[in-house]
Amino acid sequence: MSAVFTVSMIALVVAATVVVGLHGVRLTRSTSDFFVASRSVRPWWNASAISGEYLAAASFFGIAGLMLDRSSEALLLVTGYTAGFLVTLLFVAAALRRSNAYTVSDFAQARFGSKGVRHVTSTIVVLICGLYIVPQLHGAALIAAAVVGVPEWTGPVVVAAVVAVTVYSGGMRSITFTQGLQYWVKVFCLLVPLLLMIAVVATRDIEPAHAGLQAVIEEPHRSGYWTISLLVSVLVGTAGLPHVLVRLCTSRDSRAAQQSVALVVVLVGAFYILPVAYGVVGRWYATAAITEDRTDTLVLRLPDAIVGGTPGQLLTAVVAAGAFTTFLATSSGLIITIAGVASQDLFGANVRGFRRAALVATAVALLLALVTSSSRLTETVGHVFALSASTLFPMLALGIWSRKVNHSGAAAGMITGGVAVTAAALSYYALGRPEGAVGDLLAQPGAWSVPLAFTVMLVVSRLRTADPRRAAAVERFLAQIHSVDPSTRAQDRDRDDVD
Amino acid sequence: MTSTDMVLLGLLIAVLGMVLGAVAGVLVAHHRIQPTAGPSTDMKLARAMAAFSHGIDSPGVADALDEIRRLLAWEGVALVDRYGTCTRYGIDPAVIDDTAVNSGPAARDAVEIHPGLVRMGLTVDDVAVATLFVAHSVVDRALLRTVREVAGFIETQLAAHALGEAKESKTRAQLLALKAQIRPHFIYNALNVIASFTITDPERARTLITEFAGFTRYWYSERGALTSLAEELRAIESYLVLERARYGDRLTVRVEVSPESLSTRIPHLSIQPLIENAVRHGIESGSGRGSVTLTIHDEGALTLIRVEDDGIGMDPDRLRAVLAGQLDGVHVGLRNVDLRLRETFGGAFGLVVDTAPDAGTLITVRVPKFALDPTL
Repeated sequence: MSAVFTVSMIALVVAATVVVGLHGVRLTRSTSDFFVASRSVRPWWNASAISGEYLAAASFFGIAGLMLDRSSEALLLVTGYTAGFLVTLLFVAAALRRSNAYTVSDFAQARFGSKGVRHVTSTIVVLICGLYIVPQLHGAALIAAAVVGVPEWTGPVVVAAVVAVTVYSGGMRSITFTQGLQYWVKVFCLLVPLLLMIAVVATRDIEPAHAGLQAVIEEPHRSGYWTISLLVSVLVGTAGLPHVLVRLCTSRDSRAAQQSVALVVVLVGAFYILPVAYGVVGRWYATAAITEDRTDTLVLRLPDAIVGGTPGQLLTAVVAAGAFTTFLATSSGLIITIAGVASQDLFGANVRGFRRAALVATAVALLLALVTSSSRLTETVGHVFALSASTLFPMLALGIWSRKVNHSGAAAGMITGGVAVTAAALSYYALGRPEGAVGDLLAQPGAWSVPLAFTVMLVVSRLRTADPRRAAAVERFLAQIHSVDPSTRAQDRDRDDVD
Repeated sequence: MTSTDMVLLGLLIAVLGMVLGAVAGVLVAHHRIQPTAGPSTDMKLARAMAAFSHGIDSPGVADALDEIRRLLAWEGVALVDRYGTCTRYGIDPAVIDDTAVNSGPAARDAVEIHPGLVRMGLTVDDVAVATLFVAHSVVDRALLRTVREVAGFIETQLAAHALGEAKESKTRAQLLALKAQIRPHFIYNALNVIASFTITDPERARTLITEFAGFTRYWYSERGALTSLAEELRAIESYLVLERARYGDRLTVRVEVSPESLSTRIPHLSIQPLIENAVRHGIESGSGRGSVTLTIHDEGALTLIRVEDDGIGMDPDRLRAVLAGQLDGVHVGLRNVDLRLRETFGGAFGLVVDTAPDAGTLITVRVPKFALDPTL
C-alpha cells in the first residue's frame, strides 16, 4: 500500500517537474513595463534558490541517518555545511560578482588570462559536479529499494531519464523561481511529517522501540586531526562549489550577492534543524529494522514506524516524493552546470553542443552511480567537498586576494590539489577504509591538501617571472573586483541629485 | 602484500601524482617547452633585447640593459628616454647631464662625443624616442659597429611594441567611434512632444523631461564599452515613455525577460537601437498601429535576445547591402549594432534578421553570458 502511495506521489512530482520545466519560459516575467522587467531577483528569493540547489541527498537523508550512530560527526557536518557560506561571504561573494564572471571558469580566464587555466578549471568543475550527482542517484536508489520495493537501479534510471528529457527538450533551465520553490518544498516535506510524529509521540504515549539505544550505539572515536580536517574541507569546500557560485551572478550587484549569501546562512541553518530533529526522534523510536539496515533510510521509515497505518504510509509518501524532487532538481542543476561548462570548452558554445554535453554527462553519471554503491551518502560528498576545497577555492581565494599568483601557479596548484584528493580518496576505498593515522589522512585529506594547493600555487608563481603586459591587466582586473560597483555608485549619485 | 605495503604504495602514488600535477600545470599553462641546450651569447643578447618589445618604460628594460652591458663587456651603458628618465650602469650621471647641455641633439649615428663615450639617438618612425650612451676605454670602428647593431635591434623591438599599441588603441577607438555614431533620431521628436505638453499638461512635461534626463545620462555615461542588460532595459524604459507620449495607444510593447539574464554584459546601447528600429517599423505600417515584443532568456552558455515587430518589414536584399556596409540609409543603426557586437564578442555573434516586406521583422541576437571588456 505504501508503495502505491509513494509511486503515485512521485509520479505526480515528476509530472509537475516536467510540466513546469517545459513551460519554464512562462514563469519569466511577461509585462509591458520595462522597469518591472529589469528588476533583478530579490536577494531572499535568490537565497532560496541557492539553498534549494545546495541542500541535496546528503542533507536530506544523510544527516538524519548519521545522527543515529555518529551524532558528533553529523553535528560537525551541519555546522560546516552552514558556516561554509560565511567563508563564501567573506572571501568570494562580492569580488566574484564584481568580476561579472558567469562561471568559475570565466573567472579563471579573466583573472589569469590563460586558456590553459580555463580548461583546467572547467575539467575540475565537471569532475566536482559529476561526482556530486552520484550521491543524488544513490538516494533515488534508496527510495526505490526501501519504500517502493523495486530493484535499486530503477531509482537512478528514472531520475536520469527525467533529467535528460527535461534538459534536452530545453525546459528545466536552472530557473531561479523553480529552484527557490525547491527549498520550500524540501522544508514542507520534512516539517509536516516531523510535526505529526511529535504530536503522535506526545499524545499516544508510545514506548520507545529502543529504550536503551544510546547504550547499544557505539560512536566511533575520531582523532583531532580527523575533526579539523573534516571542518576545513566542508567550510572551504562550500566556498568553491561551482553550481552554488553560478547563482551569485543572478544578483543585481555585489551588495545583493552578499545579502543573498548571508540569507543562505539563515535558510540552510534553519533547514538543518529538521534532519537533526529526525535523528533525535530516531534515537528513541527507530526500530531495529532501520538501525540494522542502512541508517540513511531513517527519514523514509521513521514516519511509518511511529505513526503507522495509512497515515504513516501517506507521510512516508510525502517524504519520499520530497526527497525525489530534491534529487531531480539538484541533478538537473548539476547537469546544466556541467553542460554549460563542457559545451563552452569542448562541444562548441551553441545549443546543440549544450544538449549533447547534457546527454553525455547524464549517461556518465548514471553509469558511475550504477557501478558504485555508497554505504553512507555523506561519505562520497565529503570527498567532493575536499576536492572543491583543494582546487577551486585556492584558485578563487588567491586570484581575488593576491596579485602574486599567475597562470602557471594557478594551474599547478589546482592540478596538484585535484590529484592529491583523488589519489587519497581512491586509495582510501581501495584499501578498504583503513583505520588509524593513515586512514584518517586518506579519509579526510582537507587539512593537508588545501595548504598543499595554496603552497604549490604561490611557489610555482614565484618561479615564473610575470609578463609585464599581463601584470597591468591583472592590476586592472583586481581594481575592478575590489572597488564599488558602477550601479551602486550610480544609485548614490541619483540620491545626491535628489537632495 | 600486507596492508601496510598497500598504504605505502598508495602514498607513493599520491606523491607521484602531485609531482606530475605540478609539472603538468606549468606545461599546460605555457604550451611551450624550453630549449634544452645552454643558450649562446647571441641568444642571451636576443632574449635580453626582447624586453624592449614591452615598451621603453617597461620594468624589464633596466635589467636588460645591464645584461647587454655584461654580455658585450662594455664599461658603462645608459639609456635616456625623451622625458629625460635615465637608466644607467657604470656611467657617471654628471657626464650624461653635461652632454645633454653641451653637445646638441643626438645624431642618428653612433658618434664618439667625448673620449671613451659613444652616443647614438634611437628613433621609431622618424620620431626620436631615446638616446643610448656607451662608455668604453677604447673606442674603435668595431665598437661603433656593435653599438649601431644593438641600437638597431632595440629600435626594431620598440617599433613592434608601438605597432601593437596602435592596434589595441585602434580597436578601442573603433568601438568608441561606433558608439558615438549612434544618433537617437527620436530626440528631436521627443523635445517637440515635451514642448507641446508644457502648456497643456506641465506635470506630464516635467515627468517626460525627467525621463529624458535619465536617458541622456545613460547615453553619455563613460563606463567602458559594456553594460548590463538591466541597465540597458532601464534606458529603454525611458525611451519608450517618450515614444508613448508621442504615439499614445498606437504603440504596444511586450517584454518577456528571465531575471537570470539581467546581469549579462552587452555593448552599451546595442538593444535600444533595435527597439527604436522596431517601433519605427511598427508605426509606419499601414494600420498605423504597432506592437513590439522583446524576449530575453538564457540558452546554455548564451543569452538569447529577440526583438520582434509586426510592421512593414524590410527588403532582405537591401538590408543585406546595408549590413555589409555597401549602402547607407535608414537601417544604418542596425549595421552599427552588428559591427559592435562582432567587434566585442567575435565574428559569430552578429545580428540575425528575419524579415520580408509587409511581414514584420524578427531580430535575434545571441551573446555569451560572459565576455572580457575590450576597452578595459
